[in-house]
Amino acid sequence: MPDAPTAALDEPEDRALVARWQAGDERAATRLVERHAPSVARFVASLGERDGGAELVQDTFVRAFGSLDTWRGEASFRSWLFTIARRLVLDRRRSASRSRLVASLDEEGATEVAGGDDVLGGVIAAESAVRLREAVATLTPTQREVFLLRVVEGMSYREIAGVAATTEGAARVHYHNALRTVRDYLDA
Amino acid sequence: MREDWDEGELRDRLPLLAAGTLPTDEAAALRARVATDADLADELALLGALRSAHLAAPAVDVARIVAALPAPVAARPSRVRAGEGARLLRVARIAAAAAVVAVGGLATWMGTTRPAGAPSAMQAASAELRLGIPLDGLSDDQLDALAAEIRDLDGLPSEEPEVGA
Repeated sequence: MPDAPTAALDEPEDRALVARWQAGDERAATRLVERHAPSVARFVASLGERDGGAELVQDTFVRAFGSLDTWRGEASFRSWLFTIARRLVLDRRRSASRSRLVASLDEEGATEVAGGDDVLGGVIAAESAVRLREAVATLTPTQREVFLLRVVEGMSYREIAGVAATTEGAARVHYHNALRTVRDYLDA
Repeated sequence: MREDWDEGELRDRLPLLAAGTLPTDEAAALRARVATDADLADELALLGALRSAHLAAPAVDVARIVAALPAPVAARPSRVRAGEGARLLRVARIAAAAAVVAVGGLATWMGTTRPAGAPSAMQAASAELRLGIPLDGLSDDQLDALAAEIRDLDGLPSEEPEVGA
């Protein structure tokens, strides 16, 4: 099944910003970092990297901007960043050879996006959010990575395949298996 | 834009609808379909809740990241020029050294009878021949090799030749 070209929505502005940066406009870099750093940080956290996550995000951008000449635009700028971030995470795990800490996004340092004035409603929503996160935490690492790229970042299977070093077909299977697992957990 | 999605295609697009990454017209068509199907509506609500639960991101320091970025190529011409200048200076120094060795060697060779086995004149001639190559066309490795050869040259015979022996 042809997948939706989700990357196309952000690509024109990203390309324009990259061109401006390459022409010497350093403000374009700030804009690109503002646009993508939160999602890269979220992705790094979803891979289980809590310690040094900020450094990984920074290294991702340093690596990306240092090799922008090699970015041919075949992948979206965002998925290219995610690919770099994923490689850095894997490199760090290989070199450090240490047990990783599973990130818990509701801990200190997290930035809450949703908000509300209703305290009771907020508590219920928070409990629901915890349960939803627990459901996702039961997924295998690959399922979780694919599932969050699809549901949170809204990536196409093609983008996910590029980031997660898999195929579009496998990404689709992982997504549907993950959704079934999450449903089963929530229904139990 | 097609709207004749089958069940699988519809469900595949729901997370993209929840994330807001579908093109506007496609999203509108999909929402219209979801509005008529309770199962799809439930799945979309679940996906929306899952997305919200995972939207929180660790805080990022944009200024710190930007400060660590390399300067854009267009903003660092001086560094490039400095590199070119250093290379030209290196070429000139090698050329000057080679010229001194060659002239010295030739002068010695012309003014004396070359003793058998004296290597310096041959080495100087070799260096002179090498000067026929445009030095600025050499690679860094070639320049280094040439510089090493020049350093190894004594330039002058180690012993005074025997005149009129």
